[in-house]
Amino acid sequence: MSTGTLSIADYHKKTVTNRLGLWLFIVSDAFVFAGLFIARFYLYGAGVRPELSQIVGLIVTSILVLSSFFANRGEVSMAYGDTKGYFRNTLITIILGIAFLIGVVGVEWQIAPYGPDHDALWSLFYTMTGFHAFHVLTGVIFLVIVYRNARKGLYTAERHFPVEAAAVYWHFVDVVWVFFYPALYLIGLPPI
Amino acid sequence: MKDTQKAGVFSIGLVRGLIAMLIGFLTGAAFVSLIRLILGLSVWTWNPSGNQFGFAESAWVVGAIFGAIAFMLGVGVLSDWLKWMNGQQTAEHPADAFASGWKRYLSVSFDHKAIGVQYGVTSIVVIGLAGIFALIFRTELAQPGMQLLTLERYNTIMSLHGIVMIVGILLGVGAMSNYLVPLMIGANDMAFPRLNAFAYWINVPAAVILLSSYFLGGFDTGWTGYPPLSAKAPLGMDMFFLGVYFAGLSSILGSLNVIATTIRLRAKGMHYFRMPIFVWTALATAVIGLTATQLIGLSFQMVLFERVFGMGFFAPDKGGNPILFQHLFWFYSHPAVYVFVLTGLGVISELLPVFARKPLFGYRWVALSSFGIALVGFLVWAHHMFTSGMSPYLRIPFMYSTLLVAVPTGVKFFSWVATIWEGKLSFETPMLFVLGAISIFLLGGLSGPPNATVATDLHLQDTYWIVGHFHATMFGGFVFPFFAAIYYWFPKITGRMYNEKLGKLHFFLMLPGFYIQSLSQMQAGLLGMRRRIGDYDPALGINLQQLLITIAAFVIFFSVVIAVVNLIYSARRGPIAASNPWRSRSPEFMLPSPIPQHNYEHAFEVVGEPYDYGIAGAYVSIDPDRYIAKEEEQPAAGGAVTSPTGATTD
Amino acid sequence: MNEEQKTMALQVGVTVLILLAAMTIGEYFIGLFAPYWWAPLMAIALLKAFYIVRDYMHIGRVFAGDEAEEHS
Repeated sequence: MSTGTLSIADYHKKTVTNRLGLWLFIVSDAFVFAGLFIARFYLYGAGVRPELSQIVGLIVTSILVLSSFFANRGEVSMAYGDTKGYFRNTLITIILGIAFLIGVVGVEWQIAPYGPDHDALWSLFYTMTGFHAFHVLTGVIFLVIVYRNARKGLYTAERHFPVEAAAVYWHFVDVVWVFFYPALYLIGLPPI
Repeated sequence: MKDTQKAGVFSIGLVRGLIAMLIGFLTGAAFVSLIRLILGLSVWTWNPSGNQFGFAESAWVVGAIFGAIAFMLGVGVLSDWLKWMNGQQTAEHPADAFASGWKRYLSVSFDHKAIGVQYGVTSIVVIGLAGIFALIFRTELAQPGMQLLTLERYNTIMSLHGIVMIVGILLGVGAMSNYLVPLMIGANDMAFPRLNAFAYWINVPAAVILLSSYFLGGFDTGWTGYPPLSAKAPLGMDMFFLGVYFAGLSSILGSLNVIATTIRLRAKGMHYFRMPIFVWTALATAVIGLTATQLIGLSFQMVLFERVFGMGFFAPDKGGNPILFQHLFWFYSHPAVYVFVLTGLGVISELLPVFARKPLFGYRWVALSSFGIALVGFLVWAHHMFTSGMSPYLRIPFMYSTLLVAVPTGVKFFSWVATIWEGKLSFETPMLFVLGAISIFLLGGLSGPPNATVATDLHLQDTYWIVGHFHATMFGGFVFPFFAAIYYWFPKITGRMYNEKLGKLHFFLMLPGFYIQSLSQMQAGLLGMRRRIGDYDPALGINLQQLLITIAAFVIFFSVVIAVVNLIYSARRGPIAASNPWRSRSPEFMLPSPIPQHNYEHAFEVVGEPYDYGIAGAYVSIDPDRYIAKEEEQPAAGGAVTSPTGATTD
Repeated sequence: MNEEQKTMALQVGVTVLILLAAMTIGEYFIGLFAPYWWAPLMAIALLKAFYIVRDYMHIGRVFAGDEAEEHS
């Protein structure tokens, strides 16, 4: 990414390599979440889920999907040289990301009826949401760093791989939640 | 350039890192203690029957994590990334802190060759440590009864031997793929040099944390760390989990780099089926390392959470299931054994044609067989769990998938035999190690099907037969090829030749030593010796075998000491090596020895097949004379004191 | 590199958002009234992931190579 002195052709070449690296990282990371996902169904099957607030679940899910939408808008804006649009949309993404964190850790964890040491079901709930929240947090930090550098005028329509990387990572976090939301909130009923 | 000669001890990255690690540890432990204080929990414990190590368990864990991060900051691996975060630019290849000498290897370098050497040396040191652990508990096992150790100590040392050896092997695999892959595909460095350095350096805190477990009560679970025992073990268990976790992180990031490098940085004309065969095995290894390693990290984190937060994944009284751990654990740990052996098998395939002066038989099949082994390797994990209490119907599919591994492995064996067939063999040390590796891996491979077959495995599970089996595969698949690779590329790395006589002595001590050890282990196992137990009944009639194993262990260790002495002495005083002592066709042997700082000054093109020995025509379009002539023009630059400034500014 | 392309790229984002929103609401009601329907829920999740990976994460770019650069 230290590529300010490279020619456009070299920058593109390097971008293709960096993009591959990013995706390999995502593939690798996906295995952690896949492991947790499988562990949840291995232990409890499709009949049981933790007793969670459906409405909070829907709200945080919507927030994350919306944030992904704005992250995409920001990236597209940058790709066409519209830095203003990038700043506006990325700022919204960051705010929504923080809202998601507050929704999960600040609300859902606090109103949950049991702690992580109650039983394996709640252990799974806290671990899955915790791992995911950690990734959301790193995603927010990533977006903030790139946003700050964009403010310094580092990226242009031709050279903006960090912008793309932050957005792709953000979408990956969203994809994880796409699977975790039904696994934790929708499938099965709370144990009686 | 800075005057590094007068620089103090703090200019050495390793020293800074270790100091930072200590500070980081104390910060983390203090931080958690403060939180515990606020929450009204106990901060300091001194309980001889439980935690007798001062800080609470959570403080130790967080302290160790902080320590590892602080180490990375202190050593300086992260500094370029931190600059990027601030929007600054850095040179693509900054000069090393030390231009030459051994100090260069104790600080951060982004050069893949330096990192390869760092990996290799660390690997030998770590394997040596694990070997010493082995000698300690082998001495205990030489006779029935407990003489030297207590049973608890025995368990810790036996477990440490296993896991430290595994970390050492992973480092050795990293050494080979880091040093060789860019050279073989015609790249000047890995795709991500900083990530490469990060992946190496994270191993140092990993090793420190792992070894600290010995002083924190140890752990008695073996290297597998099965709960529920590992959920109750002393504090050392946490350090074991964290150490393995960081070593696994290194494996993941290193694999990522190898894949990206292989896909993106191949020279012109180097199609996938024209790559040296070693690159194929490194690629297959990296695919496993990239994906499966996450699962061992996850399973260990889950036990860690169980210990620290009281979670219940594996506790039946909380609705958990210990079998889940075994599934997650072996989903990595079985493919991991292919991580250990595949690069070694690649070295065998790489070296055989050179010393047989014949094309590698069935290149495409051998190339694809690596991926065959890797992919089948993902589907066999539950063969470690035939006696675990998992659903019995699962045994049969896993038995068949396990036996299926023999097919791609067989492809490799037949290729080796056909390559040797009617070849003009010469028997320098690397070739001896290659042939030794083939014979040993055959033993390891043939002792495998009895474990894969459910009916026999039910009797063999957890006996010394298994110990003999996997030592054979590890020696044949890693140790012997690793030494072959070291001897083979030693002139390329150092520019000097090792001592052939000592090399052969090493081989002729290690080979019989290994056979006695492994065959005795198998026999002892069939006669009823259980693994991981510090004592045995003299009535089993295995006293002689146990004594032989112990003697063999000492012989093997002694032979490795000879090798280390040979390598250190030769690196300093050995005769200057020719640029292509083995008459290899591989591109790295077209360069002068030692290899110049940025590998290939001029991009080359692949014009032929890699293994057409004995056939006219070259593999790559490099004229070795051009590089040699250039060396002779500037005799002052012949050593390792070339100024890096010219190479980094352009 | 022109306004038209940009509008089209943004339009893709809006379309995907609408699809995701519709599927999420569908999921929610399945979860409310038929929580034992795990297979349809997983199918919806896979479909959502497919759209995000294809249109938001541009997975196609990974395989595009050196020549085809930029702009979807």
